[in-house]
Amino acid sequence: MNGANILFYLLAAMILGSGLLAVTTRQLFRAAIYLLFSLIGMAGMYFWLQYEFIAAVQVVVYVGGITVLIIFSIFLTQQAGEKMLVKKTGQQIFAAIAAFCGFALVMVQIVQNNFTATKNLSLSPSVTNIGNQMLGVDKGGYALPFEVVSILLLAALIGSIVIALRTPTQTS
Amino acid sequence: MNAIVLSGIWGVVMMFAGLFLKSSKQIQWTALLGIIALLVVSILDYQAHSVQAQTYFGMMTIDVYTSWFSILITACCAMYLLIFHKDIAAVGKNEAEYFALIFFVMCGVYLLASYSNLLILFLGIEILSIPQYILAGSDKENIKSNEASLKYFLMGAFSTGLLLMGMTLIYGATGSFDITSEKFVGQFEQLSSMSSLSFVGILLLLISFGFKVSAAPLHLWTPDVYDGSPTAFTPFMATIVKVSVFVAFIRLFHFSFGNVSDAWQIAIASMIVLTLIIGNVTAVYQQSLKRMMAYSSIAQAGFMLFSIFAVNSTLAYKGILLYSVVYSLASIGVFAVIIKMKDYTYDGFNGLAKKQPVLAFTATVCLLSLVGIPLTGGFFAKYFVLSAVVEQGKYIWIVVFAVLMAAISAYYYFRVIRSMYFKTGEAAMHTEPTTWDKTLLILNAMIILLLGVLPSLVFG
Amino acid sequence: MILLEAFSTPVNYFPILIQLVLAIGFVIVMMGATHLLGPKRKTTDKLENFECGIEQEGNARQPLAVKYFLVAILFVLFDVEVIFFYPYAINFRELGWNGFIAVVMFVAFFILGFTYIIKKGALNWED
Repeated sequence: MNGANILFYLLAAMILGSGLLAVTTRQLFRAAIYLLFSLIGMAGMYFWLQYEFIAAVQVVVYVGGITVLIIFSIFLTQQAGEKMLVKKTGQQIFAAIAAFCGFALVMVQIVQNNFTATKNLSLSPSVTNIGNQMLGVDKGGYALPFEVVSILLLAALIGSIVIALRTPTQTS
Repeated sequence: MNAIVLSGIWGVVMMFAGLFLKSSKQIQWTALLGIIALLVVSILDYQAHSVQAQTYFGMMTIDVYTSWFSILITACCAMYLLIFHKDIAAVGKNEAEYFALIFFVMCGVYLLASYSNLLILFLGIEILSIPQYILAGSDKENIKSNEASLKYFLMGAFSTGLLLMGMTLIYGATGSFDITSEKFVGQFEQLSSMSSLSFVGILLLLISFGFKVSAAPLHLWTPDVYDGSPTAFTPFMATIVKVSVFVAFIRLFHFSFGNVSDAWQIAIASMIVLTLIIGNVTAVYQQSLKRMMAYSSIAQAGFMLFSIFAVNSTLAYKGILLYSVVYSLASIGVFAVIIKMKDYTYDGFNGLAKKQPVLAFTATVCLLSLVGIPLTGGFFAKYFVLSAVVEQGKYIWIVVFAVLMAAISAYYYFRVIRSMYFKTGEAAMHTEPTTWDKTLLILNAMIILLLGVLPSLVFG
Repeated sequence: MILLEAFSTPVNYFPILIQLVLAIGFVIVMMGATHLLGPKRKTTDKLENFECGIEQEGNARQPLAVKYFLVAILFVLFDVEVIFFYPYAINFRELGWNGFIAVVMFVAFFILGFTYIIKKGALNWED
């Protein structure tokens, strides 16, 4: 057990522990905060894997953006202090079984599969390489998905305007 | 390729049309101009690609089949916009945005028709889905519309998650997202050498696609979403979007997973049986025509699944093309009549034939086509997809079962016809159809009848 | 190259781990110590939320205006778009004109979306 392993297990414990708390707590706001910690743990995991750029994206978008959005929407919709109703035992058992089956299915496959190491050197995930790949126009470059993403974001932008912008007649 | 670019650009044009054009008429005309331009561009694309397939950036492969499908689906969308443009504008305040979202969906449709990389498949599904969540909830004052949007969004996001998980597992097994690459093709050459990782990946992709095309047991969102969404958008979701997901489905499962069909054919077969039973039997008990059409779209999806089931058969490709067009046009035709009515129940249609003979006639043609009566396009559509399975020689009993289910479907479709022709009543109208509406509906019905005689017209 | 790889193994994050443990440990020790050592006097006034000495009124958790949400969602969208610029900015020279054209197209959509929300008045705070 070396330092790297210890770090990995610490991060995994953080992700899983706060994830578990997020789904079991009965206070919605706390669930959001636990989710925040889980996402920070994910960012830590990316750092551990040396994917610095992905880790930074994780922090900027998920920790900085999405969680704030979730907290805003909790404040927007309901009394954040109130506890949520406890689900029926039947539902809880069914949810647990379903989650376990999904987990078991994927886990068994991953454990069974023997991943062969590639002969060629893996590309280092530095920002330089990411940039070259993302904007490359030759075969294997991701310029087309890059442009498609901009259309996707634009569609989401219109959607947010249509749904969330108050139209002039609806004055409260 | 040009169609993808134009649909994206026209989405932006529509966005700004809402800001700069003051009258609703002008916005609608801009949208119609856009879809006509899109149709022209996709025809030009077809001519450019009819000789040989072309690959763009190793991400998309456009061949004859793809570009021909693009023309057909654009034509269906043009028909939809021509018939419904006034109703779309009447849904809410942001009319230009609705058209913009429809153009963005079209962009996703073209991507799904031509992807050769799983990343583009994912982005296509997302561009297809996100505008739909918005369109479902565009009637903000209506609580059922809100419910539809939220339900669709939550379930859709979950299924997209499964799609990503499936892609991840397949990437783990193959080491490539490119479905034409050697690694990818090699992995799926034969069942014995396929890793179990890809098996689960295929299963997850199957679930996700099944969700998007509302195949049972993943159909639960469909009735509420199609019923709750504004009636102007339901036909768009139920037809154009659904058939394009089918084309993406067939593309992946036939071209890439065709050799390992033993792994997933049984799953599709059980999906077909469940979908046909649940769709048809539940539709019988519906009182609202809009909800009945939602279940009917589930049942029709069951028939379209046959084209996925019959692996690598030319009849299946022909079948899905014909089915896409005929089903889209027929559903659009029925919804065009529904939206004109005040009361969506069967009783609301009593005596429509006396009051609006043209509407009743076109609706009858469309309904007959949905049943699959000979001399309408629906007959050949069903004939092709079913005979593709017969040609394969496996699971013939499902075909017998499907024919039985088609007979059940006749009951609820004919019930509408009976209300319109053989019952007396008010048939209160919400909006009176104009001559323009009637002309289009007759044209729509004529195309369906023409395809009933000459189905080869859609094979290109 | 080998040196560089050795330099950036997970082990190098070990000091960070130590710092983390120290920071958390310090907080726990200090908070625990004050609880254990400090005198305890509990009155109802002390357990109230502190609002500058004024008695508190109502609940602080009131539903938020939808505007905050709109701004937050637009923030996340533009946040994502900006992230895509970063890998380009690093490779500005290498990518040349092809990369430039790709980014210009991306930026065009970005700017159009921005103009749209400004024109639409989504960022106007007052009605």
